[in-house]
Amino acid sequence: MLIDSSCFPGFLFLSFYVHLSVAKPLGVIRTCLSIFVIWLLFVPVYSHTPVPISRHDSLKQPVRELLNQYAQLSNRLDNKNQETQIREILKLFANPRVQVFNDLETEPASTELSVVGYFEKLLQLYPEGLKHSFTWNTLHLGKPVYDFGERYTVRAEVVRVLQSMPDQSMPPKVIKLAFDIGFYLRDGIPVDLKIMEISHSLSGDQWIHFSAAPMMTRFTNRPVSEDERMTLLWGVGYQSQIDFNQFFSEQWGVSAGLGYGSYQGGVVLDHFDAFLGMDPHFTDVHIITRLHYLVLPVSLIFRSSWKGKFNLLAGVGLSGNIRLYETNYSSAKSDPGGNIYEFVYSEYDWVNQLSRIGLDIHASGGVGYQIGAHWMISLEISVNQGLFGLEHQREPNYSNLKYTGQFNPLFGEPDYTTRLFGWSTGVGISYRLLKD
Amino acid sequence: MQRISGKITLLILLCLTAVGEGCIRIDTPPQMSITVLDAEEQPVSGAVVGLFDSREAWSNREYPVQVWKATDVSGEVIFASLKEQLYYIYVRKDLADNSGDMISTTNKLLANQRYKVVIHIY
Repeated sequence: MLIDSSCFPGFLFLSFYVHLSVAKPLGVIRTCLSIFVIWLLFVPVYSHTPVPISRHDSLKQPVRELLNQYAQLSNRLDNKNQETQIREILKLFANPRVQVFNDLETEPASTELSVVGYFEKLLQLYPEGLKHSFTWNTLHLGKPVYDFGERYTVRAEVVRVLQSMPDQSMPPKVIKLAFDIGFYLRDGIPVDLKIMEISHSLSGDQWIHFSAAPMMTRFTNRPVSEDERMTLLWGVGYQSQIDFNQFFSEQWGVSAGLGYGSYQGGVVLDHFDAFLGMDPHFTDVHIITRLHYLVLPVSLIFRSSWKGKFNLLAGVGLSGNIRLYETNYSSAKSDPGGNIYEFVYSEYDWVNQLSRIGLDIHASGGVGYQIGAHWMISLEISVNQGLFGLEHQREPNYSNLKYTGQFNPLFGEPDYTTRLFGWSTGVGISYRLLKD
Repeated sequence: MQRISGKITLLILLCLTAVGEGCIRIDTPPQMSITVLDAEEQPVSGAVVGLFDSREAWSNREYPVQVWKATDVSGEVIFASLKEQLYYIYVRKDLADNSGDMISTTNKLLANQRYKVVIHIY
């Protein structure tokens, strides 16, 4: 039994998210194991039947012959005997409803048509027909897989050049196509090859991706969060970034980018204690910190495309954070009196001495809708968890001063650094760099 | 091709705008550096300093605008995130305080400035 590896990013993301938001007390490993078991129970699995082909190369020749036939029959196509010619072409396909990537028209470029519709459209736009040719040294065969009954399938990717006849004005179109081909085996030899789908190959894709998202953020520090006199606060931040995505297969790729993040978090203290005998009489003290960061993310990314338009997206990776600057706000209630005072503590020197460089692990998931051949809009959610601290120098007198308001108590716990945690929901827009 | 370049340029500009937002500087609230000296003009460390926004609050030592802070070895303490207003200053160490010296700033503080104040305690 083999588990479909394409489900792994979703599994990782789900595990990470549940761990951080719900099941923190369980510990990350136990949470992942629990979800893995649930995932095994509910995510579809399939029996894997090995393809009894002794040599992978034995498929290459029949596939090439099939595609050659496809090109030759397509090249003969003209308006004179249209029905007969299309009928001949249809013999190469599994059925007349097989979907074919339509790049005959400029807009919409990614629409798929049935094979009959595609060739009818071709003759309608180019009555003299078009010349199809393949660049054979780009032919790449995927791993053959079992389909059903006695049938197997294989994906063949190859660059196809489409040229108009001399009296037509269409410029040559060069595009990498993916042919899904079904076949049977007779004595270990592939026979009865049929085209089951022609789509635009996505392997080797390059995308420029821009995203912007509001973010719920918090700075976590275990001793402070367990301190009965203090409560950690969530804040609203945001992050925007631009990434370059390089896919090395249809589903998997890597991404690197540059972003800007503004994260907010805080702490509420019940009251300030007297300092050197002078009691400020401040209660219900809110101390809010906003950190502005340069973000450098790198990720392993995954996508699963459906009908060339809808995409399931996921990613997991690391982000380096470099603080640009930070701002602080505080308020408290006077006691007695009840007036609200702002900026009740000042932290001029302490903040400037801090070196706030962090490393986060992040995971994201989303859905995307492709518009034409170039553009995609997406809705994304992501979570960030700081791996190590935001500050690397500490106030030496923390234990005596943490309740007196001499500095931000969130960033002064000895031996415990403060880390970022955040989750966001936002939108993204991607631009595809076509390079077939 | 020109159209594509235009779109990419627009995208990059959008991103730069978002990233560049982080580089915009806002006004820094006024700051005050207070140096505490004794009768021999020597810096006093460990003196507690409080700021008040009215003479009455200063007299009663009630409702300081920020928490009390202590001077360092050079007799200095800095208050940040202040407002553009007058402040009354109280300093004390043991039995000495600044009741006999200047107790308020002469003018309203202004943003983007750090004021230096010297106070004697007796």
